[in-house]
Amino acid sequence: MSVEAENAKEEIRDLLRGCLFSGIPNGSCAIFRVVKNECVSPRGQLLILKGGVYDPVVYDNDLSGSANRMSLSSTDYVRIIRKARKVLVEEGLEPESVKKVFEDFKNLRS
Amino acid sequence: MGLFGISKEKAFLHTSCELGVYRNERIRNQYVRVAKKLGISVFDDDLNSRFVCGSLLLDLGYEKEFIKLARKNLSFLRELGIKRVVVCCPECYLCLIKDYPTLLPDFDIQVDFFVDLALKKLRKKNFRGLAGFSLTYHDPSSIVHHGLSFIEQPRELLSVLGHDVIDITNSGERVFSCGSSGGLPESNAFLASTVCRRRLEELKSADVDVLATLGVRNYEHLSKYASRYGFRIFEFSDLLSFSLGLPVEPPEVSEGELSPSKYEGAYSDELKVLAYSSDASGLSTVPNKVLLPECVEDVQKFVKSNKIISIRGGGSGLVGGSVVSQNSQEGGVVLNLGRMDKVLEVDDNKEFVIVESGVVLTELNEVLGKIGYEFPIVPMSKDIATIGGMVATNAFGFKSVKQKRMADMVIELCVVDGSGEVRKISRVDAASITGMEGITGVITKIKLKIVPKTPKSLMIYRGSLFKLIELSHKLKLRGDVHSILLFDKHLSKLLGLQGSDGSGKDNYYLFVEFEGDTGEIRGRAYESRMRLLERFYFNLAKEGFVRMEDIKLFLDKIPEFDEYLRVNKIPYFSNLGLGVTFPLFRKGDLGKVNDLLGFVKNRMRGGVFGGFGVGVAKREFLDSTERKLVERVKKRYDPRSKFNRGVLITFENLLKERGEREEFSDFLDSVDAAVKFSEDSDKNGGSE
Repeated sequence: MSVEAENAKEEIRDLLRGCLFSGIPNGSCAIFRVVKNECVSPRGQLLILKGGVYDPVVYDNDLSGSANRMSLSSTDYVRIIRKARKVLVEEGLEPESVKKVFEDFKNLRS
Repeated sequence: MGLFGISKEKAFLHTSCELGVYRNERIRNQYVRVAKKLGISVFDDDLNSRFVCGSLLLDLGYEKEFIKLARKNLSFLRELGIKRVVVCCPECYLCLIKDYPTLLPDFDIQVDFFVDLALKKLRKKNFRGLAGFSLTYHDPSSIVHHGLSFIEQPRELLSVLGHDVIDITNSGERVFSCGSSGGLPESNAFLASTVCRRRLEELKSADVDVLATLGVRNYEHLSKYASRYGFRIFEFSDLLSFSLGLPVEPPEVSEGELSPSKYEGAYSDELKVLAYSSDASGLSTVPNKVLLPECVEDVQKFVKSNKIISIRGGGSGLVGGSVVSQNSQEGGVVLNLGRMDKVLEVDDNKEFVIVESGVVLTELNEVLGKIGYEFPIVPMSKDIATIGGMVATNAFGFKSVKQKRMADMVIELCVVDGSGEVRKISRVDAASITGMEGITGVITKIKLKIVPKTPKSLMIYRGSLFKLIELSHKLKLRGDVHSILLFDKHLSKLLGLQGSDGSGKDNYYLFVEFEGDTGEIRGRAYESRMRLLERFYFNLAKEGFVRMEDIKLFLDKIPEFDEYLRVNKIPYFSNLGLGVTFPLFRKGDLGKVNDLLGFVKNRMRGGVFGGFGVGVAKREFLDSTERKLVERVKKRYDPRSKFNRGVLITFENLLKERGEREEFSDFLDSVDAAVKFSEDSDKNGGSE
């Protein structure tokens, strides 16, 4: 595993330390509202990461910021999910459609 | 003059990034024309097309590449002598105002939001648009939820342009995203479109056919389905162009394919067991499996085929009621009812509603609000609490005086018992389910009373504790009082009320909510106070309070209790309508909890109200009579003790305290045999 990925995981562990996992932000999550499965809820995603599992499920998320606003413990949910995505990118585990965006970007720059 | 002969005073106009699935030349061109018309001095658009701020890269996890790009962009702007960027896209604005300064400490470019600038320019010109549309506005979550609070400015701009903005309940601070942000359309287009359709469905409640939104991503995403929901959709650059007499390029309409209204994600068991390993109590156990029934038949099947089941609604309980028992040797499954979320029937005479147990209270009240009704018991976790969970815990309303607890509102229940059979429970027998925290069965369907939604008003009284308690005695006799809340000095400050006046005695506040206009605080002022009250719960946590007890006392006992709390430096508030006081504890003060409970029991003759449930965390506070009652009902509905082991009573205690261990075990074996017979029958196509 790359140093970048390891550092990102360490940062996630730090950011999760003060989280209350109250579930209150679930009520403002547009994704959870239609899926009704904690795998995509703010609380569920953080519990998955707390359990040490890094899975592309963190891309089923719109980073709307509502979870940050509703968090009782001021947990920076957006930052945690971006870091989790970074871990997947470092390990080459991001979805193919996401890789394509990056390829487009490289072509645009060239 | 800067490099390339460009004036330093000019701003760089960043309309949007040419990256990802949504790119829109039309809107970009319109913004350039509007900027020029408004006299916002900007560079020509060919520069803009070379600029990608990279917000999408950062969202998708390409942090290293984003930082490289941001560094390049900063050099690019500096080379051109550009000191100010005007941003049209909400996502790009958020990125430039928050992420750039965070990741590039030397980022020194001024970042302005186009809507804000346009509003200022139009105000300066005293511009008033001609009669425009009655429209509803979808707030981009990126400029609402990330601490930027751009809520009023876009609405004011629409109003200046002559439009009448009709907001739905879930707008502004309460807006739900349409699924266009965070790279969701790029990573999971199917889910993004399901989220979009849900948002459009909700926007229909504004009862208008014009929808306005801001930014290329929101516009293009909503455009895919807007016409299917009867909307004509406009981006702000369209509306500004109309009003300023500029040409509006016709949009290219491309309708998206319809996806189901519910999304069936293929999430692995490994993910599910972690995601459902805890609830709001903070207690945590990883279950063996998570089951998500869609209908009663699913529930029956799951009950028959599993031995240990933890029933879960919104997971908002504070006592571990939905967490698999930590003492269980065999593990267990979580049965989550969140997907059974239909409002099945609203009575024509508006006397009752029938719902599935997974309906979230706020969603129920949205449905009832359309007919001028509501469900009046509103706990603090209303946005995640399910009706089934509220019945199971016999939840109480944070405020209501008249409708005290769920038991007052339940008319009928459908329950799947421990043998997997559906039982219809009448109001008389509902007590064996209501407040039993799921140990007697899985609630699948509920018939509830509803009440008319009445306009309310508020009075805030300040005074000594004695004076306010005397007043609340009188208020409770009135028929129009909706709620009576008492706040001590410390908590009053969290509500934005004046602090100490120096005397130390008159620092208590009484919030009295009236049905009708008796109170002096009405209309918008009332709404504003109520929003503060809603935020109160959040502010408690942000102030470091991690635990709240619910103590039931006679009103006359409150002054003595107040003295105890003041001496021990424990802040509190009281729902005097219900006679419940809520002392609050910070992490370092948790040692005071047991002392307080002892004081209440021994000196005050009070008790725990149990409004937050007993669950796992407080089962030792049940007295022997209560425990016997629970055991009796448990044996009737769930003799094999499948449901919610460890909640209210432990399984081991259930056997031990009855003193019938062997006899009871034999009985359980016979139940097992019956279950097995039933399962075999199912496999063989039924019991016939």
